[in-house]
Amino acid sequence: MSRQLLDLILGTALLPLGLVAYLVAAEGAVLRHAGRRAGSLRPWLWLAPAFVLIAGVLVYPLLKSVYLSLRNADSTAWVGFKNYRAIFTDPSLVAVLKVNALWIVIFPLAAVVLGLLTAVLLDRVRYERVAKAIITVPTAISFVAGSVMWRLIYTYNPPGTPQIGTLNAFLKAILPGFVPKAWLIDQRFNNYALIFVGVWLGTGLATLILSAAVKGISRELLEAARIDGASEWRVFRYIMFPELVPALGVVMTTSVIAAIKVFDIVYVVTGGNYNTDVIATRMYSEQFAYQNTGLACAIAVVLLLAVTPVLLANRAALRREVAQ
Amino acid sequence: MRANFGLRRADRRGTTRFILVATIAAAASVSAAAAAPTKDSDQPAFPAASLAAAQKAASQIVHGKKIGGSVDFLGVLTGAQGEALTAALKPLEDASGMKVDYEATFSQQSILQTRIDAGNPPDAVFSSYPLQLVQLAKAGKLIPLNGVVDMKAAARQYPKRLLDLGTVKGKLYAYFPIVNYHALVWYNADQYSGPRNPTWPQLQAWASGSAAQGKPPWCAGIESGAVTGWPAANELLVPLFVRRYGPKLATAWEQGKLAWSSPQVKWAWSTVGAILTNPKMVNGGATAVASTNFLGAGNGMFTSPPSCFVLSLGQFYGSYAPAAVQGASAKNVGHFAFPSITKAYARAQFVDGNQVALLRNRAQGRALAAYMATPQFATLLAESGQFLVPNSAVSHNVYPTPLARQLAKQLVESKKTQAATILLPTVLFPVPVTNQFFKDLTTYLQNPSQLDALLADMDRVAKSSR
Repeated sequence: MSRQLLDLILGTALLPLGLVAYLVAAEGAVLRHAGRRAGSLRPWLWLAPAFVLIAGVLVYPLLKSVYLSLRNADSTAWVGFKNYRAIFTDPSLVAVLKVNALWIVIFPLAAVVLGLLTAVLLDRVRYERVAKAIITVPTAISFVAGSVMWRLIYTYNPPGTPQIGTLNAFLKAILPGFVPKAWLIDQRFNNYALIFVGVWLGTGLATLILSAAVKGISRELLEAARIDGASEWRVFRYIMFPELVPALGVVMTTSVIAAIKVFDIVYVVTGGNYNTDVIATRMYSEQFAYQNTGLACAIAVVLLLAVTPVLLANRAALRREVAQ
Repeated sequence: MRANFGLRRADRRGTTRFILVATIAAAASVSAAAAAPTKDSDQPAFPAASLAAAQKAASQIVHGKKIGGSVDFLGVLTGAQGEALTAALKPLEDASGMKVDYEATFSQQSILQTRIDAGNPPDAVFSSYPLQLVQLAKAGKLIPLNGVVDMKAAARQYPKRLLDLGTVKGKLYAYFPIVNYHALVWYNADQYSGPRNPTWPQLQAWASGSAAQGKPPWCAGIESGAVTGWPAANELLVPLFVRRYGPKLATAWEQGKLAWSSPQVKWAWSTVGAILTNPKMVNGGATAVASTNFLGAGNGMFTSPPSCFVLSLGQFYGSYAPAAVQGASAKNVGHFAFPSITKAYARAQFVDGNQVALLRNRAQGRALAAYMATPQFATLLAESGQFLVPNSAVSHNVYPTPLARQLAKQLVESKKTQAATILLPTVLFPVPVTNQFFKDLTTYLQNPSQLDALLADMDRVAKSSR
């Protein structure tokens, strides 16, 4: 029997079986010995396996990363906060932070605006299902596959040679005198080109969430407003929009988190070249290309610290959305 | 009844929509995958006699015993090369009853290091990174091959220079069953009217003339995903440096004894920059060079009219172009050696390759390392048409193409060229240096004015990687 098969059996059968055995034993022990304390003890016994798991796969790696982030490239000596200082002072890392800032501003805004627009407008047409299906198709494509597609779409060939990239070929066909653009290399717009890939892949999800929220708004309320003579803009501004705020919060925070963590699009489309490196791709290259574990871990910790407040806001927004 | 019907229709619509979404997504990913360059995936068919000989050699290695079990083998070769490799390992599997679990990844060096750190090394590696193996051997992580492979035969059959690269303190830890030539200058014989086998000044004189006539002479493309930049480094910059300053200075450069900001290294960078950033020398200039994948770099030689005339690239292009480039055929794809600059270094030829090394001392791993050193295994690799094997017991006649036969002849049958065979510095720099080299060279071609800052950056990385 191959090793992998054995591991698979251990993982899928023995682990749950062991867990059940533990719970049965713990429950038995509580019943036999704990007496009146059983009520307060029981939740902890049931929660213990989850705590162990979280400690093993989340807390320990986190603490280890913090520890390694204070050490040098090959983790053999203490360097204090040198790696953290580098993140905010080294020009090449500051450039990375600037690119991420661009992502954090543009990507969520575009996702929210486009998502809201499609959700609200599609609510008014008969072919909503078809249109929504088309808009959500990219959501079904993996980020890597989508990125490969866009790399081909953005392909540039020098003027005077056949344009293999779809975008340049298309623009050349419809605009006489169009000079092909190196979408991924020209630093005036290459980051926007990458962010657009993210928007294309991510707007579908925003549309789905916002569309569900739109459907949740009471039709009677909207109709009453219209009968009272409210214009469509006022209906949207004073009735729909306030009702959509919690859902917008969810979409916004989810997109911000995605923008902070973005990796696959940049890695696949430009490999971080031509000033498109973002913090997650840099973390990867520091570890695997430059073998600088200390700096890679420091970047990971900064990434976590940047995501955490947004994550908390996201949870609060989700709660509001559910409560509504 | 009506409501019920309506519900079912909604259900059906839901299903139809799901199928539509899934189909479009699948089609999109498939077409994206298909558009990416892929190689022929046919398994090579070996002559029966070679297969029987390989099986006999394998059988002798395991003393006719079916040792069974499996060997965990980590490599970097995929596609047609990966298939040729596994097909050539089949006789060993048949003879020994063991299974070779070959796993290939482009991140091989990091995965190897991670697995060693985690106490879970593979049995054997097929590494493209000699420096890492030397470091591992010094750290005691590799098993010496002296009692494993037939050392007498190896010393007779493999070029000494290549064996030396895997030797630490008199013991052999790794050897090269395959090598690849780099920096051959390719041209389309139907279109190229420049000098054949020129010196660098001769080629440059012709190139300048061609540029003046409005015909950009050079073909170039450096896009290669996460390792974008390597074609400019391996196929132009390093050959220029070695042709002018020789292998000894290259070694000093590799070992950090010659600074990146030295006039010699700077000369190589600026010479490459002068070609690749000049739209008269390369069609479209630096932007086109950056956005063109290395596999498509030479396409312009075969269009009519051609948009470029000469391309410096590895030996693989000789089989790739006739198979994959429209207008290219075995007849019109020609090449010459990278032009000479300093006479004494005119013969140096640039190779990289893959080395076998053992990390666990198990019977299966030992059998694999012993088998891969045999001329019978090397013959299968040569017959697959995917590799050059530096084993002198393999006749150049077994290669399927004239180009491979000629290169093989140079590689193993001439002591003179053997002595002039050097490994590409980019596989001998520490990993961070090589990666930074590709990245900084890519940046340089977009911003030539930053040369001094980039070379200073390279010095910093080289210093911190020692």
